[in-house]
Formats: sequence, structure tokens, C-alpha cells
Amino acid sequence: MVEWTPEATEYLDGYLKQVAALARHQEEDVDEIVQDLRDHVVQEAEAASETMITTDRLRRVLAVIGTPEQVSGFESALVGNGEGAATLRGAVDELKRSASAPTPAAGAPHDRPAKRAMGFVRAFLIAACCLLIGYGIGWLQTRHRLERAYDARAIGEVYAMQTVRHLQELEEQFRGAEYIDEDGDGTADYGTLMELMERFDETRVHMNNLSKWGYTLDMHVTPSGVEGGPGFECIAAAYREDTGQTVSFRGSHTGSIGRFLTDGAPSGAPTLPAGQKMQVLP
Amino acid sequence: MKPRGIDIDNWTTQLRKGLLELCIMNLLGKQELYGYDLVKQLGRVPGLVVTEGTIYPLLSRLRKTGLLTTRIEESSSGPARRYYALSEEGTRVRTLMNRCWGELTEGVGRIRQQGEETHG
Repeated sequence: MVEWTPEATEYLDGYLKQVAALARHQEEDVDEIVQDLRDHVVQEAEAASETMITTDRLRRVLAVIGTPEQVSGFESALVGNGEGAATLRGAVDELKRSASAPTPAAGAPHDRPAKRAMGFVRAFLIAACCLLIGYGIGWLQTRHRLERAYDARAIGEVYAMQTVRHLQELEEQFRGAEYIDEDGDGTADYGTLMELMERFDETRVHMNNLSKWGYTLDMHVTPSGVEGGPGFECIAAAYREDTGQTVSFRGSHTGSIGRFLTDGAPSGAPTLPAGQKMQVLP
Repeated sequence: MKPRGIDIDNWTTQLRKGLLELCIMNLLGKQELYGYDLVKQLGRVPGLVVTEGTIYPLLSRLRKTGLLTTRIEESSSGPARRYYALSEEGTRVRTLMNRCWGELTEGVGRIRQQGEETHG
């Protein structure tokens, strides 16, 4: 009875595994080839009538049988120059690479999930940074537009207030000038609100179609004024859509100017047709 | 020094490979053979220079193409043995191969003889 050392058995198994791997690449019937080859090796090794098959004895047998590359037909096929030979060379290289590749215990495949996770984190951070930058730019642009709008609104308010003050001053000057006083009432006839009041016997005179700086300018006479004459009020008003309120500057014959906030759109001041400077309302 | 323009090793390998098939078909034409015995017989063919292990993939391929048949026989001295034999198709192909080989050797022999006479 011939026995095999465990090393020799292991060596033969390893040899046949290599043959199987290479033969599989050539689409051979691997099991059949490996079985035939095993029988051949066993028969050859035991033919020397030795009682124990050692690794050395096995190596001598395998040297005659051929290397795994020779047995699987790889070596002769690799000699060729055609496309098939190139494919086989690639397959051999692949086998060599896979044989020399680090095992899972060596850590390389374990690194893949970590690398993938790091990739996700990196992509998330980049996306977050892009979003933050985008929001930042948007916020700065909005703020800039708002600042410009607030600046324009503030400038408009200044101009509106100045206009009201000018109207006040002009009315005062007309009242005191007494250039033309055909009816001899002691008040200048043209241009003053007081005269207009008397001439048309109306209580309200609108002399605007001005819409400047976002303000509608309105001016009208009030029944009672200083020294028995009619009073007047000039208004610059603007509706703020964002707050739903109307801001207005009101100046009167008393010389005061006030700033008022009222809910809703301004009322009473019509838009005059182009070119018409004055409208008398009943 | 290797001859230029041709890989002589490759050429010899391809030639032997083709001849190996011819030899197998003819050896099995007489009788069915156990794989090991077939390999040993081929190893004794002069000039064929057979690497024993290479025979088995070739036998497997010939069986897959339908030229050979196999049968398993239990052995008292070890594991079951696989015997190879020519199929009907294999027999027909062997006849064609032998005819082709005969024509080739005759033609090539004539050319070689002419060449030797010219240079001789």
C-alpha cells in the first residue's frame, strides 16, 4: 500500500488547482481534465514501488507531466502572435495579478467601504459648501437691492418733504406779495390758493399730476385759515405695497409739516390728464 | 541564433500539435485506451516530444467535438479509469486526416527531395 505525505498531497492539490484555473480560462472541461491528470500523476508516482510518496518524488513526476501552464495548453497558446494568444496572455496576467493581490486579511478590500464613505462625505461637504455660497451670494444681492430700495425710498421722502415745504413757502409769498389785487381784497389774484378758492367758490383745488420719487403731490384749500382767509394743505403721499400702508407728508398754512402713516392706498388725489396743471373738484 | 522572420519554436509546437491529434486518432483507431496508457504510447513516438500533461486537455477537446467517446471502468487497483475510443465521426475524420497527411508528406517529400538535389 503506497502512502502519500500530507505535504505531497497538498502539493498535488495546489498543482491541480492551478491547472483547473488555467483550463477554465480556455473553456475546457476542467473536472474531466483534472481527474485524468490526477489519475496519471498517482499512477506515475506509485509506479516506482516506493511505499511513501514525498514532495520530492511528486516534483520529479510533475516535471515530466509538465507545468500547469503547459498542461492547460496555455504555454503553447501563448507562443502565438494572434488575437487569441494576446487574450490568453491577458488572462495569464490577470491570474498572476489576482494571485499576488493582497488578501482580505491584508486590508485592501476593507479599505473600499471606508474610501466610499469618505467619497460620500466629501461630496456632501462640497455640495453643502456650494449651497452655502449660493445662499450667501443670494442674500448679499437681496440685501444690496433692499438697501438700494431703502435708499431710494429715503431720498424720495426727503424730496417729497422739501416739495411740500416749497409749496408752503410759495403760498406764503403769494399771500404777502399783493402784486395784483383787482378785486381789492388785499390778496394777490393769481396763483394763490386763497384767490382760487374765492374765484371758483370751491373747497378743494388739486393742482397736481405730479408723480415724482414715488409720491403723488396734492394741494387743496381748506375752509378755515389764518386771519379769516382760507387755509391750505399740501400733501405728498406714496403707497407702500410691501407694508400695505400709505406714507404722507402734509404741510399746512400753519407752517408745520407732519409725516403720517395710514393703512391702505391714498385716496382723493386723482391723476390729472397729461398737460393739465390744475383740476377743480366740486 | 534564432532564424529571422519565423518563430521556429512556435512553428514546431503548432506542427507537433496537429500531428499529435493525428497520432491520437490512429492509436485509438486500433482499440480503446486508458488515458494513462495512451499518453505513454504517445510519449514513445520519436520526435513528437510530448509533454504528458498536455494530452488530457486535447482528449477532452476531441471528446467535446464528438470525435472521441469515453467510458468509465472501475479498477481494482485504484480509482475508476476513463477509457477513450473513436466515435463513428472520429473514424471518418481519421480516414480523411490520414489521406490528407499522406498527400502532404508525399508532396512535401517531393519538394524537399528537389531542394536537396538542387543544393546537393
